[in-house]
Amino acid sequence: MSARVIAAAAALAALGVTLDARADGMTPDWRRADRRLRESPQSFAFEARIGPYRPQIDEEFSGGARPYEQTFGDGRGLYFGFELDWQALRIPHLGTLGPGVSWGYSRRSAVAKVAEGPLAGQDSAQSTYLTIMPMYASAVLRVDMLSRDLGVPLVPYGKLGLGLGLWRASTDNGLSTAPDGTVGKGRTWGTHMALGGMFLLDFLDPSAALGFDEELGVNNSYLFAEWQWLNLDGQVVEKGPQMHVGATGWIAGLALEF
Amino acid sequence: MSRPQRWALSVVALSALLACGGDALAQTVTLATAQANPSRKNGFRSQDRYPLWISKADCLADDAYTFVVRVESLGSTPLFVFASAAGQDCSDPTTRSGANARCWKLAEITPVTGATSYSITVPVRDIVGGYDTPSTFNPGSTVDVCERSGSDAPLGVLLHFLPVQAAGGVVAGTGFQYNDIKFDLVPPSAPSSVTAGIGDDVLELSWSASSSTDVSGYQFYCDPAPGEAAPSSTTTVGAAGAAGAATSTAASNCAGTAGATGAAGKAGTAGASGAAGAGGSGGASFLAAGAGGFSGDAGAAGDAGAAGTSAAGAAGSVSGSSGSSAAGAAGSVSGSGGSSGAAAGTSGASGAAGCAVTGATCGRSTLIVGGTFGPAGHECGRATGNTATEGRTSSLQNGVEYAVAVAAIDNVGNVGRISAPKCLAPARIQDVYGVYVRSGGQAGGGWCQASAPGQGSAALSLGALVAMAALRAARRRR
Repeated sequence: MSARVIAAAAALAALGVTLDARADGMTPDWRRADRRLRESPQSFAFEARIGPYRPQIDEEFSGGARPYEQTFGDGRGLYFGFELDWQALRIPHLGTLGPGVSWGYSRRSAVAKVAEGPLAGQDSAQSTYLTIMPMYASAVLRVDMLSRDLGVPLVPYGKLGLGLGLWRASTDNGLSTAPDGTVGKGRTWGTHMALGGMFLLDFLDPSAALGFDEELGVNNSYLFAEWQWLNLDGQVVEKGPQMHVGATGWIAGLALEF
Repeated sequence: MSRPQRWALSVVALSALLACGGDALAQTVTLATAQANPSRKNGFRSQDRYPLWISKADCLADDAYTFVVRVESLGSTPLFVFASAAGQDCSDPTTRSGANARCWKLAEITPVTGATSYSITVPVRDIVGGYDTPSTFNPGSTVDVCERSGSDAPLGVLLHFLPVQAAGGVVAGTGFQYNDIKFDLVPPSAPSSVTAGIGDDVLELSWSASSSTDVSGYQFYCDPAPGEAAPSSTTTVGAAGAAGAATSTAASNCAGTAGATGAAGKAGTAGASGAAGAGGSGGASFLAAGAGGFSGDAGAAGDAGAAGTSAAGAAGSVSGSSGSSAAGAAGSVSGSGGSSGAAAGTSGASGAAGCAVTGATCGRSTLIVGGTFGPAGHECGRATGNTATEGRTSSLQNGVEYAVAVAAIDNVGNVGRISAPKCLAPARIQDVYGVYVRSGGQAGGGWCQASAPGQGSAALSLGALVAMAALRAARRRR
């Protein structure tokens, strides 16, 4: 479904237009205020996340060196991940607040260039890989009063916390090593922040949403998009040389509250 | 039915027949029950799929099977071992002698008074030697039987253990057959379209699969061999023929352009020496001769001459020298190199592919296109599976140019002719971490390497959050 359709639907909802998704005489209402007494307890949120990912490795260097771009070009890799939140607090007429943890995965590969000899600079027959597992533990605030109290199927949210990236560089021969024997893998600490919004899918099919809750305990389903700042630069927790494997950019996905 | 079961059934059947046959059938022949399979002189090729079968290497190495046969009441009747193609019967005397014989004799055991078992050794050469000409074959023939061409499908052989009376008839109701032996002397065809790519300490290979139907994998050959020091200068292989000039000077690819027509190699001359063994010193020029071991490579000498058709730009020179040396070496072993050598002398017409020779390791390559068997000691990797079309060599040395070729291996371990070699040097590659480090990056060392105090606290926090969430969820579900 395109963003325009979602936006139009949200606008209609905001104007108080109710949609009857069924023609059998039932009048399901997706508004939480009307079915709150019937829904199952809600304590967690789960997100399946996907988006482009370009680590900020080159920002570590100030002399024009751009090892990441030199190796992988100027494109972006793909990121996918999962997040689990514990909605520990429900703030009346505002939303939920609680800690969340996330694990993600991104891998980039490129044909490695020959580094020496008469064919230096030409493509070799091997590839070079950089695998990053971005993770974070953040406080998550989801403002669902719009959907619960006002009938607007939108939930803005924010996240703030600590990030950690595990990375591993390899070739077809295995783990990369530096000339001094240092192995090409490590971890990087940093900060994590995100702002985004979720569109409540229950709005599209209230009956199905109700059934989803009754059968599986899933209170709400959302499509979401967020702007994420995962600033993994080794400036918090532990100092020292750390590869800047964080990234800033859009993330989208599917979220469930249960 | 398993083999022991078949043997047991044979014993039971024989016993039953003897019981019904009266006094005239007082003889029994059985295999020793402790031996399900014969033993092999050179040991079983346990790494291959069919260890009981006969490969070309088995044949060239003069392998042999030894059967232990237990005999009871044989009297003075000799025990014969015949072979036939699968499905044939050797009990009728006309099948064992005469122009229409379809069984050939492998062994004859004269009974020893009081003996209850005999150890019968059957050379694999005798088993395969009579397959095409059973009526004229004699055990122990010196005719080279290990060279075979045509279909690479395995051929089944049936061994018949028969007590044969003076009149030629088999003692009724006795004897048994052993049918688990097949032979495959035809190596698989060479893979084609071999390409080599540069890797860090390795070469990445790809090829088009061999057309043979019984391929089980592919063997890689490198020259210099892994771990062998690279020569500092070019070494000429054997005496130069009137070669076409080496046209390829690129270190990256020996395939190069086609060389000029080369003169015929000297294989004919060397071959003529035959048993005199006037072989040249060019053992290094050809795998089988160099690897030496196999007398049957007399015929291969002819192939060496033919190598001139496809080997290097230095093609003419390589073929000429190969022909002369290999043929001679082979001739000295079996004396049959004369004819093949002569044939080789007429070939080697044109050099198809050029291989850089100037200052390149490839100039001394032992990898001759189309050579039979791989050069021993030059193995540098293997790919398993009949569908494999790419692989990686074992660890080589960056900066050293290697000639590398691929040969197919069949189900019994026959190594086929090698492909046209490629010449390439492994080199360091620009992996992302190497670029990062050379740019001044200092990160690395492992996920768990501590670099500052307190480094475990955040990780603990992450774990604690997950644990708390899980606990909370569990409590709520209860």
